[in-house]
Amino acid sequence: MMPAGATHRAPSVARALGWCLTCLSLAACSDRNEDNSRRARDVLPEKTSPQSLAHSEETAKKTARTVPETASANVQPVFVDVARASGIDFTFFSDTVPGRYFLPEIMGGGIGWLDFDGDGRLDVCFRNGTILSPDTPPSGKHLSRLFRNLGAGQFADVTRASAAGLEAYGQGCAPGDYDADGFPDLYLANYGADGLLHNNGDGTFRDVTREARVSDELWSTSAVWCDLDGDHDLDLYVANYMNVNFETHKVCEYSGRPGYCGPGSFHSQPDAVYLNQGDGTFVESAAALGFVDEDGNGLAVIAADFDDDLVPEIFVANDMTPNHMFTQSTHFDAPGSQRLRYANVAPAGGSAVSFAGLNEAGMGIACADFDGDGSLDIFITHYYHMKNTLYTNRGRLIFDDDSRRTRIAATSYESLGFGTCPIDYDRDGSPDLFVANGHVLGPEQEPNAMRPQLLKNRKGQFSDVSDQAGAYFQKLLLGRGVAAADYDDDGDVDIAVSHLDQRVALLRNDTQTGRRWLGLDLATADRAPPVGGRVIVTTPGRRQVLPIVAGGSYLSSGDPRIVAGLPGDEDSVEVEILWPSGRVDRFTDLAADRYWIIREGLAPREQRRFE
Amino acid sequence: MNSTRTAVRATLVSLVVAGLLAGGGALYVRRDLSIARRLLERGEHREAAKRLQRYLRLYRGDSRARLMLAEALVADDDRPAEDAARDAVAQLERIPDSSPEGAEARTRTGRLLFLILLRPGQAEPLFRRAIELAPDALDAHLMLWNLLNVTGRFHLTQPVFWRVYELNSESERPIRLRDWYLSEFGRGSAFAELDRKLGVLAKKDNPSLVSEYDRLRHIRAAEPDWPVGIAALARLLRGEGQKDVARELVQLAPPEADRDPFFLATRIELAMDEGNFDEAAELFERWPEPHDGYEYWMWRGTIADEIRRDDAEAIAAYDEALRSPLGDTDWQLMSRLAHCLLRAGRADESRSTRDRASQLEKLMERELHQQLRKSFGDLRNPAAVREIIDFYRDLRRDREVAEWSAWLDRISPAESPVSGAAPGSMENRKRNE
Repeated sequence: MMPAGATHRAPSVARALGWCLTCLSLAACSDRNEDNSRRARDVLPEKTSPQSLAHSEETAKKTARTVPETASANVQPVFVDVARASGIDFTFFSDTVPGRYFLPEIMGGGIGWLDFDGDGRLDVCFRNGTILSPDTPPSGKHLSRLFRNLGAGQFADVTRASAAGLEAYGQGCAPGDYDADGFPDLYLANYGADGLLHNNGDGTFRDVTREARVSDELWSTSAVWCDLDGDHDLDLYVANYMNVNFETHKVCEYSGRPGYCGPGSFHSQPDAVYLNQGDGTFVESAAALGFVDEDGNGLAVIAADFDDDLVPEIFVANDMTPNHMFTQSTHFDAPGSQRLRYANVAPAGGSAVSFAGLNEAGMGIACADFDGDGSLDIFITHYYHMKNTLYTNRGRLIFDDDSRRTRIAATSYESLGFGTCPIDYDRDGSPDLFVANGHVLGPEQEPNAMRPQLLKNRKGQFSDVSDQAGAYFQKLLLGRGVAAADYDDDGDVDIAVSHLDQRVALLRNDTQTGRRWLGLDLATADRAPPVGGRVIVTTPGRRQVLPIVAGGSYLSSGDPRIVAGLPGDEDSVEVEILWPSGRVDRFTDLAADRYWIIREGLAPREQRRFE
Repeated sequence: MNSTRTAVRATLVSLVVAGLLAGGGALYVRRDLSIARRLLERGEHREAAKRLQRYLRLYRGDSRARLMLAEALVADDDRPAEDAARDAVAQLERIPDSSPEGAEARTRTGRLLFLILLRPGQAEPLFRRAIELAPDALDAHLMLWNLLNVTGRFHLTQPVFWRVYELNSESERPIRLRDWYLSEFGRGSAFAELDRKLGVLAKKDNPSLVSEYDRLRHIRAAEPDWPVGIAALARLLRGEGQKDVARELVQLAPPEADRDPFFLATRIELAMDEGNFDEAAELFERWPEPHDGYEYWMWRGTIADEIRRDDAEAIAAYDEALRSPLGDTDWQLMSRLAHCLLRAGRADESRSTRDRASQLEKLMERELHQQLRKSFGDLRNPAAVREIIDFYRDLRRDREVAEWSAWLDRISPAESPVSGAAPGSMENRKRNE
């Protein structure tokens, strides 16, 4: 490492170049093409395997496996793509026009899991793109899709019947019951005007965007529902990306070949915060609440309690600009008065940039207690030849970039990550990780499609076990949105993945763990998800702290329920729930291998479905 | 008796004749030297070389002649440059250190090894030796500075550069200062001329990462076991995301390569990338003496910080690194220090360190340097020089400020800056906010 004086290594210079991060000249991006791969091979003797050096499509099959590891001795991960067999046949329409390289084409769409009809089964929404040209009116052909979970592993497309198919260039999908009527509504973040669909409770939705006043013309990406002003209803945080339109559009070149321009070529757009007024309307309040978003290219957002005060923070992963960690602070306008404000503590706390002070290309977020110390850590996916990042929570909103220590860095240099989710696939109590990968420069550049990854967490250190996880993990894909959910209620977490111009996948988790599990479906007394709270599951010899989060991944929302793997052979477990209100509920002897519905202050009841 | 006298007379005559012949021969050979000199002036290098070779058969200890012969050999365009260089090196190596031309011989040998034979590993000790023999040898210092630059050891360049600067005439010093700026803040193009001399950049081509790569690749090909060459190439590859190749490269180095701190640091970095912290810590224990300098302290701090979580040691080590040459502009390291201070509960210091890191980061922005380059292209313009002074003042580089101020004083005595921040400087802008 040399002193950072040289501008040809300075990341602020790299910001101007966008995604060509570490280079000064365009030629520096040639590490992503075959010419430089051949040059790299030139420095090594003939006997060295060229496969470990080239960055061809074929080598991409191997290069993601930088730290191969056999699966946990007793547990072989098994994920099977059952999308088509389940009745989910959908491909995101990106409106990619050859040679145009208009940035929204490459970003893909999100996924949201929700039980929209209240039958106890999780249904799923897939966002769709549409024709990007502003001169083309909606055709009705490219709707976002809603699939109803019929049980027995089957889904039916109920888009039209439910009127949930908003036509827009779809990005994020955020289910949330903003009016607390027991039926989750849908916020649809779009490139352009956003949409809010109110769930009528009868299997249909109504577009209430205009009356609710929750839309803008910005490029919205991810969104999250969370009580931001302490009035017990769900407010909305919407991350916005960049000012990309046909006026600002440009085509970039990498090693003489055209490709999509990155963040360095455009200006940021500020995020939006919509405060729920309780009457079906919202007021945009980002500035009023102190959500100052300078230079934020927001792609992912999560609401979670990071400092153990049961009040959620908002963490935004920004693309090539510093991340944000907004926490509640009080603001005194005058002696004796107090007004709720948020402050961005990421720069001071170490979660804004990498350990080296560099901005990173934040795409997707996964939060879990990865090191088992009881506090919530943050995993963020990043760009090719950049490491993914794992911020370890040190308390007081201070984070250490432990990407190298945890070997997250080693697993990620050869991939470009988007959607991600924590998933304890082997139920050993340590959250593992799934990452969808795929490049963004377009088909003229290599590498393009990439393999997804399953990373096994062994006492806070990660290794790539994708090779053992099934055929899906051998495919070269342009992975984008990821949302995890136990859609078949068998106690293991399944994963829906959206790809760019390829059919979506529904990875059914068929891993045989030999271990038991406990599922929790939680809601506050106000019928809201208890974001900011935490669940402590205690079994003989193990205490798991499971924070309750909302949002995360990329453009997507997962199963709001909690599934805890039980490492032992317990028939029942002790559960402690710390609600955001401060109330603590304790339950002993909750039977394992089933879901429990728990409302704040009430006794648990076993989940039953309405057939 | 007559016969004896005759014999003696004959012997005497023979001796006189022999002496006359020898003396005449010597005089004749001595003429070769002056003839060779004239031939060199006329560009007849091959003929000059012949003359000098003949001369040196008799006058082997004439170091100046040997220098001339080396020059003649290299200047012969009809021979492949590498062959000529090797022959010249063979001649120069016969000049002992103790000779008055010893320093010059070491320097010229180093130049040939470096610029023509692409063997900086062999050249570097020669430049250092020349400097020992002749501490005011400008060319040796200049070549060493260039060599350190193009092999990625920028953290070692500062003391060498200032010596180069002091040895230059006053009129040349601004040009040197400009070179210094480019070597630190414009490395993408700073070494274009040198790369052309090294033969890795065609005249018509612009410098790029590719030419830098080619330079290092050729150096490594010429000296495959030189640890610095391996490390420099590995660092470039690592920086471009080819960590696997970089790692394989360093694994091919001979075992004794670890004795070179630059190489060892490269291995440490690659081990850290892979999360092999035990390996990194063990490698650091092998750091050769002296335990000093930017890289030593930086890695000592990093290992204390990331591996042992010893904030106190990390802070102390990072402080040392930041005080080392060129460490003062390492805003990334400063960010790491700020985080350690935060963890250690020293919040105010953390904040001020982070603020300074942020300031430095802004001083590295491309737009600022695009403007500065224009200033560096107009060194007789007082306004341009003031911009340069502002930049270095914001960077807190007192010596550069002093030297540029001296230059400003020469070109525009009435406009020499007073103490304190110049109008456009960051410090003055902050004061005015």
